[in-house]
Amino acid sequence: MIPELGHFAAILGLASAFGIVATGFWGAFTSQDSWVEMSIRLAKLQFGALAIAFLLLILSFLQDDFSVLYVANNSNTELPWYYKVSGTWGAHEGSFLLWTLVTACWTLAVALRSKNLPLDLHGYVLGTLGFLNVAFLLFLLASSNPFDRLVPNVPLQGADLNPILQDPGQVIHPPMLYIGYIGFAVAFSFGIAALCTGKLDSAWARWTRPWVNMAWGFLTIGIALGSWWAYYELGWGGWWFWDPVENASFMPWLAGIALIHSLAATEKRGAFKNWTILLALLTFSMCLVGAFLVRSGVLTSVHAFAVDPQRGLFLLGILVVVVGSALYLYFVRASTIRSRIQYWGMSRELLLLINNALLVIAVITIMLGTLYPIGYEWFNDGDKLSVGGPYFNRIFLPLMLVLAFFLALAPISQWKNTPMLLVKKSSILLAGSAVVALVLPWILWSSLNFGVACAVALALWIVATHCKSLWRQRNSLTLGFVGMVVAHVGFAIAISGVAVTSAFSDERDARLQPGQSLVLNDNTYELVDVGQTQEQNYIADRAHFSVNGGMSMYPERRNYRLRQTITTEAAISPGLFRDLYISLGEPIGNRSWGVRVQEKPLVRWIWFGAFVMAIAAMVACLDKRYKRLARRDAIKAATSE
Amino acid sequence: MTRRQRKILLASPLLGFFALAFILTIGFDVGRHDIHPSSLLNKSFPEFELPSLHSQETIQLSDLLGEPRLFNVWASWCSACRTEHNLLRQIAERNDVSIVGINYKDRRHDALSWLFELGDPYSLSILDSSGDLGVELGVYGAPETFLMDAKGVIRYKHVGPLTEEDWTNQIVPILTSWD
Repeated sequence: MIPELGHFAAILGLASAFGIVATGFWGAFTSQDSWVEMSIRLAKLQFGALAIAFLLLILSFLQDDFSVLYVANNSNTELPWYYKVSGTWGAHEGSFLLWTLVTACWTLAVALRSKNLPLDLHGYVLGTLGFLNVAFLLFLLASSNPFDRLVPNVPLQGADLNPILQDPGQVIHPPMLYIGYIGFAVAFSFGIAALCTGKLDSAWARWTRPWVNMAWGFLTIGIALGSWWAYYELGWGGWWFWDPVENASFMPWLAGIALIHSLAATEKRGAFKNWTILLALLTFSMCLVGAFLVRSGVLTSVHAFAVDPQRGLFLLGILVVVVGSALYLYFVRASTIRSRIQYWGMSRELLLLINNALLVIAVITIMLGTLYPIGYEWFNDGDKLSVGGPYFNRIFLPLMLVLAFFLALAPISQWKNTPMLLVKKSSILLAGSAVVALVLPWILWSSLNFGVACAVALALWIVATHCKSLWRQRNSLTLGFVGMVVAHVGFAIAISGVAVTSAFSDERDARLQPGQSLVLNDNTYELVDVGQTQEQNYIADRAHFSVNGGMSMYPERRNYRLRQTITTEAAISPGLFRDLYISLGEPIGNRSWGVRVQEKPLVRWIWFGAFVMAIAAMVACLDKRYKRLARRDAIKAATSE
Repeated sequence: MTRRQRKILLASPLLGFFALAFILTIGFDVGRHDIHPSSLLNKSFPEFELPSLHSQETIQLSDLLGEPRLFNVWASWCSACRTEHNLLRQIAERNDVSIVGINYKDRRHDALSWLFELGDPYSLSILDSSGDLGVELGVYGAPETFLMDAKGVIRYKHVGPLTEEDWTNQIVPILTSWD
């Protein structure tokens, strides 16, 4: 009964999504308030229906209802209750139900939070969001229904949740990512609405900016969580692999940064209007491409869901319809939107343009690297190929250093024209940062490395110029400005972490018997003993290490009984400046164990920097300007009609 | 900028997307049927003399003759290789056939870490860091798998990650026919 109710709720969600499309577009097209009001009410209904559907699926998991195919495939009576709950989004069908719920959630937020929007804009935005969820829900119900029954042969036991997903990081990583991905659907809808109405002014940019910032913030947290999870769960201390699916989330992230910055120029200077719209459309399109890559089985990856040809075709259809029609609309309508005259020279506009150019090159680089294997396979009769990290690192890292260089100039730059004196002054700071960057790594890690010196110098320079302008403007601070400064400092923190941990990580492999120890740098790691532990759904070999005779660390090798899968649980001693990381390898012969010890300096700074950037992006939305000017814009829009 | 140029500029995102959609479609298409190039089938395994991954010794083809060998071309940067690794370990544990790893265009250190982490199914590992042996074998990318008989002739070639079905339906029948 419960799965049937869930199925029905999902169908109700689809019906209300259809309703939102009809009422939203019709209300906007005929400028009738009552229709848009109706679409707001339908947005509430859609959210309610999908929330109930999702809760009922969770309930089926908690009740171990193995007559539901999806539950039988992804859960098990032995699973602790919290992994039963998270198992709901542990595989394709359930995670896609979550995807539609998140879409409904953003639609509801736009419906409720945009009272000040002009009627037609509001209608078009809601209608577009409704249209997207119609497509998603049709896909869900037609080819990936999580409520499908497995009768009459109901299994007594489920097949278990994939062991590497049985982890707290994995519980929150997908929802965060989805919130970010679909948040960009709001920007996409604002872009479509601007093309439909032909109105694109500062007010439009101000309405769009907070949504983009929120979406980007969530996506940042989602990606950082995924990276952090890979670091401690996959057990070999890597934190980024240029895996196709990571790239799929990274491309909209980079495009999102470009969008945030071009929106600033559009709001303040009326510049880059066409380009901003295009970015708004493309950022979400990349999210859809990402969803397609993950769920269609086109690429092989640790993330890929089960392959089903019908699904892939359906998703490809959604992709072509949504992105194709959006870009066609852009082609037809974009020429009606003109930017004001622009100022060049050493201006803030120019810096934002450089920022956008660099980020777009980065996105294209990653896209080529991700899709190249597919094209290669086709042109070479089915031969497969992987493009590895070396390609991405060689192109991407220098691009980011160039980006960091121009980023440091951001706070001293001014619209229209920046006095050269300010630029010259900041170059003194650069010289100082460069000296520190050369000396500091040498003192701390007693080695010199050109890449690290560049990255650290630029990071210090960014911090210096930003702190300086924060101080100069201390009496007239806005949250928007503070958000910008903090986000840029977060970027500086992250690139220092990436550079130092990539260059100065150290590691040693050894074969140890209990009682033996190995030395890495200044630390001694002694294997005290290895015992067996039994948990609810796995058995583990658990080693006890004593580091420097004091601290204890316990790396594990787990054997999950049902799937016969072995996972490595590294023991990590986290530190602000250095992580110690022990993983337990295979048993070798007589009481010996393979052991791998790593020391990773500043690795935590990567995630910390990402987190700082995400929070800063969200804080910037709270700038009072948005609220104050929104009211003024609303009055202006109302009187001009 | 003339009107015409402007039109073309505004159309370029749409055209770019169609190119992308085309690539995705063919990617989707090639995923369906696996085509095996057969140029090396029934030819002798190319001669080589390369260092071992685990030590400074060199390995050459003559060392490996006398029993059937399953050659597996892999690299630590190859994400598709992870998907077949469990199967290789099972094959190695059952002692069905001796598996020889060809570590392709990789760094020794990365390769060793990988094996350390995921387990080592290879009875011998060859370090082909320059990819020369790969070129001789006609390898386009990793992973690829070759079955060589006791006399050194390639009897089967598989491109892409090896699956359970490939193993039971393609390789096992060949192996049993030799027994």
